[in-house]
Amino acid sequence: MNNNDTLAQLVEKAAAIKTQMQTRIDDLRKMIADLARQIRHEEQAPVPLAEIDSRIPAFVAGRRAAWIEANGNGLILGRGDSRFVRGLGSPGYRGTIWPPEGLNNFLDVLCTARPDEATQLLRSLVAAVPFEAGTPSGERPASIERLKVQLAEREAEEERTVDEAVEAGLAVEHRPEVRRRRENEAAARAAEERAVAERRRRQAVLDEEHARSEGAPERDPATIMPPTRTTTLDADGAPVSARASASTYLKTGEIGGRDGVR
Amino acid sequence: MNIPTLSEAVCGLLTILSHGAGAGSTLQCQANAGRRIGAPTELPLPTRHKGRVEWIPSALLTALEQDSAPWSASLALQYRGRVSQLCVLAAVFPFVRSYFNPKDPARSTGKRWLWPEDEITAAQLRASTFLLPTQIIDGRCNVTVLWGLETPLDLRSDGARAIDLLQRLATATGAVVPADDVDLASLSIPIPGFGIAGHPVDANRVRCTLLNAGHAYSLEAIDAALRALSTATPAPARRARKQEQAR
Repeated sequence: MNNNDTLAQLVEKAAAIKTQMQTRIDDLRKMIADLARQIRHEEQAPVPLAEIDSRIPAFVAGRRAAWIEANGNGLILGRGDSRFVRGLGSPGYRGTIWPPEGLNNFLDVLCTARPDEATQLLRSLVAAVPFEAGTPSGERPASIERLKVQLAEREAEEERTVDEAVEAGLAVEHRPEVRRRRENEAAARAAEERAVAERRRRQAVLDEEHARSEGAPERDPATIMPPTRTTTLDADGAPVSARASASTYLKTGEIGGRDGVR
Repeated sequence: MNIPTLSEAVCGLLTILSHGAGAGSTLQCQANAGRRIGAPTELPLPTRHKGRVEWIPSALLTALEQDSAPWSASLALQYRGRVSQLCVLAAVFPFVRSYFNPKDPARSTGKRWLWPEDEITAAQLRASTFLLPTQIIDGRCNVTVLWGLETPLDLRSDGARAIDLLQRLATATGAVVPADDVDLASLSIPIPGFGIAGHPVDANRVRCTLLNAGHAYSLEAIDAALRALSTATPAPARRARKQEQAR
């Protein structure tokens, strides 16, 4: 085997690796898209037929109760208190009977008058509609959670593979959401670094000023505000103002004393 | 002994005051209105952090940059407006400044306002000899010595115990003894870097002279130190025994 052969083999091998990586990335992206579609479906898909069937009797009972509540009185005694608009049970029955408005709603009337038949009717109607059902609602959160975990694993693997491919010199771009996330992370990191640097600078200035003021000669407040208070000494010879300061703390915990004059 | 910088002192103080704080607690900081009319400025700092405070909180940093009024932090932590925990024990030594000629006190000229430096140093030494403090804050008119607690005292159940400990500490160190009915919410500590309470034109600023932020004591250790002090042989008796032995 000569050198040219070896080089050709290496190039061939590199090309094969590139193709392999590209294929792997494509496969992972397909899996990610598929998992995202499954999650969307699980979140939005209707529940299975059996679960819908179990909901129908409660729906019918609800409509029945609502219709009786809204229209029962009108059916028996008529609408309002007008003596010309009578119901089927009006005591002084005479003239035209005005049916309550709720009689026009076929489904509600059926649910009220024939609940069993209404249930059967609705079941037949639902069965006639073609739809792709998801998992039962009770199992759905766990199923979505499992799919999200799988999705996160695939996304991480894809990101890692793309990083490796880029390092190997393959011209592959990250998915748009990964690019956006990385940009946001970099911006947040830069902002935090700026904030920390700014905070450090401000604190350093303060530290320096404080250290300088420690060494500065004391200002004589007498030149600004001449003392007007005279000293009163107590029995122990201590200024009364000192005792006042202590007693202030004792009572209220307030800090700050008063001046004494020697 | 290295004197901490202002940032270290403020961060250290906040760390000590909120060490072991419960979730949702706040540390109440307050600007002393002094001669200004109006309500005092309050700044509740949330104590979310469980560990060390790395940076001076923004609002306090701005106040340090812009305000020369004295600011203080509450000794006890608050929870929903009520005192909840005490993470530190404190002893307060009050001092007054005097107006005299330092070279010749009898002279009526050349007088200056001076703080009793010797007394201030002696008080700090006295407290340090009793038990190595976690932090000493020299606010000139109030020197505050702090001993951090390993586990905070719950003031809702142990309020009386906290006051008792503060009183015994003050008695042991010669500090001001808080009253039996002292309002724990009103006890406060001057924050380093700000002006001195009651002395708006004094050039001095509150400073920190000692900081051992990681140094905390258990209640048992403080109790033991207080008991040891109360049972120690009094100095005159010790002297008498020595003289007897010498004879």
